[in-house]
Amino acid sequence: MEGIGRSEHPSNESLALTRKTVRRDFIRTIFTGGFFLWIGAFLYPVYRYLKPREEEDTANAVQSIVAGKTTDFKVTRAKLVKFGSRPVLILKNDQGEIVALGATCTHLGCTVQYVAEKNHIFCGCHGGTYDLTGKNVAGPPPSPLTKYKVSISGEDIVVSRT
Amino acid sequence: MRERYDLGWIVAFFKHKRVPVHRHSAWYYMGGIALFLFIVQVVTGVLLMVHYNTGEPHASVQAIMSQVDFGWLIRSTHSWSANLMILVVFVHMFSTFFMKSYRYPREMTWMTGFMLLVLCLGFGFSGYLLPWDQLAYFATQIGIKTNEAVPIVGGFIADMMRGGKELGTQTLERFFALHVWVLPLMFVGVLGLHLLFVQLQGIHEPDFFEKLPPQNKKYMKFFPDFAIKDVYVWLLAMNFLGLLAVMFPWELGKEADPLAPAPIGIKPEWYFLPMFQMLKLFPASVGPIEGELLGIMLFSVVGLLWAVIPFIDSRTAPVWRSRAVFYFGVALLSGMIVFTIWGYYS
Amino acid sequence: MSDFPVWSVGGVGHGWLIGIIATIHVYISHFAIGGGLYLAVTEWISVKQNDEKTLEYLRGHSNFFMLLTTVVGALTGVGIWFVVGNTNPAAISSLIHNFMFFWAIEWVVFLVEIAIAFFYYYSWGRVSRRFHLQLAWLYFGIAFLSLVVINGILTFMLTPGQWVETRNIWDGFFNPSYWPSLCSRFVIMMTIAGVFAIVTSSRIKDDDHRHRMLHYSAKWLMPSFFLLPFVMYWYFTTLPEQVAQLLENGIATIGSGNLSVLTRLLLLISILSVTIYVVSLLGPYRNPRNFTFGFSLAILVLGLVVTGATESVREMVRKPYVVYGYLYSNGLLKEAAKDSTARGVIAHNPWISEKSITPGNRKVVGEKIFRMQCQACHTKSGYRSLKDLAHGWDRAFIFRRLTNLQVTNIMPPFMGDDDERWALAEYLGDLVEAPPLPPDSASQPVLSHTPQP
Repeated sequence: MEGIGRSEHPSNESLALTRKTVRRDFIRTIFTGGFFLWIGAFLYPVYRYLKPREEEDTANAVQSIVAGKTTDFKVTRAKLVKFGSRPVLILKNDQGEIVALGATCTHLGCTVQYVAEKNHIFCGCHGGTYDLTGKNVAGPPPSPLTKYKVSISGEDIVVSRT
Repeated sequence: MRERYDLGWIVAFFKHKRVPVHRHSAWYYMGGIALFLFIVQVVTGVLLMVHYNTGEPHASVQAIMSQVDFGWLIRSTHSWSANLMILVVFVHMFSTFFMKSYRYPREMTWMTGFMLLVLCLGFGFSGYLLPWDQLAYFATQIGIKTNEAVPIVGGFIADMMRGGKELGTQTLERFFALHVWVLPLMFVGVLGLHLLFVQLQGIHEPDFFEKLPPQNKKYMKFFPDFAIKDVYVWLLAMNFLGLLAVMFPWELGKEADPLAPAPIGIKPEWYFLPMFQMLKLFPASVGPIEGELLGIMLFSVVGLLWAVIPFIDSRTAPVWRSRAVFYFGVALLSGMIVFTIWGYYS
Repeated sequence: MSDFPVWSVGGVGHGWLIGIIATIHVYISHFAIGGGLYLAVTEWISVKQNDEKTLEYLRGHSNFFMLLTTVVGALTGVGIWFVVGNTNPAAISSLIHNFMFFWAIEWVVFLVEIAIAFFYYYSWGRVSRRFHLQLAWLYFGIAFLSLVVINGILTFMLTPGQWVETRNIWDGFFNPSYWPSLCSRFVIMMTIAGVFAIVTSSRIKDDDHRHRMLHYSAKWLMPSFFLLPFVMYWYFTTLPEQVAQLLENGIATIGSGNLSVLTRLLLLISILSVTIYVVSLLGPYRNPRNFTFGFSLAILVLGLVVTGATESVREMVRKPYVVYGYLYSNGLLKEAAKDSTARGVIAHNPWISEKSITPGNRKVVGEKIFRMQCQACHTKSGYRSLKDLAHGWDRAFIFRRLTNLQVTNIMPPFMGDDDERWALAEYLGDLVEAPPLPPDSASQPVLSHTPQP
C-alpha cells in the first residue's frame, strides 16, 4: 500500500531512488550544519564571556615616572620600581651615573635582580647574566635588557621611554 | 574504543531498563529535569567564578551584569535555574511521596533524596549572599540570627556561620567556600548514590499499576523511548530558562551597607518563606521557651519525620499509620503552599 | 483626526488587550491559510495514492480546522476591530478611509472563505473525490487572497513608502515591504499548518499511520527553516532607516546586557523558534514513535508565543507612529503637531467641552488631554503607568519633559499650547503627588512662569 511518508514515486523506481538519496543527502547536510550552528549559538556567548576585556594597556599608557630621589642611591646601588605594570631596575653604575633598565629578563620574562657581590645583573630563573649596561653576557638570554631614559630634575629621578 | 573498554553493558543496561506507562508517568520526568538544572548550575556557576571576586563582591557582580559580555545572561540563568531547580526538587519529592515510592526497598533512595533537598536549600542560602546587596545582606542576617535561638549551641552555630560576631567579609568568604566547594562535592556524592540506587532498583511502580494483570501493564524502554522524551523535556526546560533569563534578568540591589536601615518588608527567598511566615506567628515566648526556639524545634521535628517516612509507613505498617502519613504529607504540602502565598502577600 | 471619544482600559492597558487578542488571531488566521494548503496538498497526494487512512485523518483534521478558524479566528478578528475601534478610533478611521475598497474585498473574500470551509468539511464523502479536491484548492486560493489584501494594509502601516507624498492608494498598498512580508508570511503559515497538523496527527490511534503522519507533517516546517533567514533579511532591508537602525543597535548590544524590550523580544523569538525546529526535527520527523500529544501541544504553545513576540516587535518598531511618518500612535496626525503649539488642541475638539483653560478647570482639562494623548499607550496606575514613570518628578519638570517627549523617537510630541501643557503637567503632578507649585507662580498668567525648555 502506498501512502504519505512512503515512496512518493512508485512508477519510476530507480530514478526516484536517486532523487531521494540526493535529496536526503542535501537535507542531512543542512541539518548537520544547522545543528552545529545551534551548538555554536550556545558556545558563542560563553566565548564572549571569557574573552579578555579590551582594557587600556596600562603598561604602554605610562610615559614617564618619578622613580625616586638621587639621595636614595647614596647607600644602595640598585632599586626596582614599577613603570606602569612592568618592573624597571634603577642602577648607579661604576661611573656614578644613574641608569634605568627594564627588569624583565629577555629569556622567559622573569624579573632580574642586581647582585652586588659580582656587580652584575642576574636572573634567578635560568641564570641569565647581564652587565650593568644591560648587555647579555652569559646564560640563555638572547638579547640585552630594554633601556629607559633617565633625567634628573632637581633631586628627582625621572624615568621615561626611549 | 569498544575493544579496549567494554562499555556495552551500560547500553545493554539502559536498553533493558523500562519505564512503566500509566496516567501518572509525567512525574517521572521531574528527577531528570532537576538533574538537567543541576548541570546548568554547574556550568553557569563555573563561568560566574571566572569574573566573581570575593574581595569586591558587589562591584564584581555589577561588572558581570553590565560590562562582561553576556554576563547578564549567565548570571540570570544561574539565578533562575537555581530557583527552578528547588521548585522541581520539591515537585519531584512530593510526587514520589504521593506515589509511595519511598517504601521498601527504596528507603535509602528517599533519604538520599531528602539530603539532596537539604543541600539544595544550603546552595540557595549560601548563594544568595554572594552578590552582597542590601537584600542579601539582611536576609542572611535574619537567617543566621534565627539559629541563635537554639539553646547552648545556637550562638556557636551562628558564629561559625558568620565567622565572627558580625556578618561581614568573613561570612562572605565562608559562604563562598561552602557554595563552590563544600556543597557541590557533597551534592555530587549524594547525587551519585541517589542515581545509583534508582538504577539498581529500577523505576518504582505505584500500587494501582502493580495490581494490574500483567497483560495490561504497559512499559516503554528507557532507551531510546524514555530517553528521547527526556531530551524533549530538557529542551523545553532550557527554553523556559532562556525565556526567563532574557525577559526577566535577575536584579542586583544596592551594595550592602550594615549601617543603612534594613529595607522595609524584607523577605527571604520563596523557598524559605513558609518557615519565615510561620515563625512570625509564634508568640515571643510560650511558657519558659522562646517562640523562635519553639518554631525551630517544630521545623526540626517535621524535617526529621519527613526524612524517616519510609520507616513509619513501611509495607507492613498498619493501615491507620500509612493513612496518617498520607495526611501528614497533604498537610505539609498545603501548609507550605498556604504559608508561601500568605508570606508573599503580607 | 483626534476628534473621537476613547475608551479607557485600566490595568494592563489596551495595548495588552489588543496584543493578546491579536496574537491568537494572527496565529489562527495564518493557520487558516497554511492549513488550507496543507489540506489541499495532502488530499491531493492521498487521492493519487489511494491512501484511505490519510483521507480519514484529513476529514477529522478539517473538522478541527473548520471549527477553529471560523469560530475562534473570526471572533478574535471582530475582537480586534472592537477594541481598536474603541481605544484608538483615529487609527482605524485612517485605515478604513484609505483602504475602503480593499476592506470591502477582504470581507467578501472572508465570507466566501468561511462558506467554502463549511462546504469542504460537510461534503467529505458526499461529492466526487475530484470535486472535493477542487474545493480544497479553491479554499486555499480564496484564503490566500485574503492574505494578499490584508498584507497590503498591514505593511502600509510600517512602510507607507511613496504614499506619504503621492497619496496614491496603490503606492500605499504595494509599499516597500509588501513583497518580503507576503513571502515571509507564506512560509510562516506553512510552519503553523505543520504545527497544528502535528497536534492532530499525534492523536491518530493506528501506530504506523500516526508515525507516518507525524513525519510528514513535520516536513511542513522545513520551508521556513531554510527560507526564513533570507526572507527576513530581505524584509529588514525594506524598513525605514530609523527602524533598521533600531534593530541593528538592539542586536549589537546583546552582549553588554543593556537590553531594550525590542532586543529581548528578538532574542526570545530566536531562542523559541530554534527550539521549535530542533524539537520537531528530533521528534515527529526523526522519532515519531515517541512523540506524544503533550509534546505537540508544547510546540503549539511555543509557536503561539513566537507569534505574539513577532507581532509585538512589528508593532514596537513602528513607534511613535501608527502609520509611519503620518499618524502618531495616539491617533494624532503628524501634520497637526506643527501648528498645535500656536492653536491649541482643546478649542476645536468637540469632545472637550471646556474651550478655554481657567485655574478652575485646569485639572479637568488636563485629564481630558491625558485621555487624548497619553492613554493610547499609558495607564494611570496599571501597565506603563504614569504614576510609576513620572514618580518623583515635580510639576515644573513634568512641564519641561512634555516639551521634548519626541527626542527618544518612541513617543509622539505633545500637542497643544503652553496653557494646555500646564494643564496636563498639573494633572500628572497630582497623579504622582508632586508638591503644588508656589502660590505666587500659580496665580500669575501661565506663560510668565514657564521655565524655558
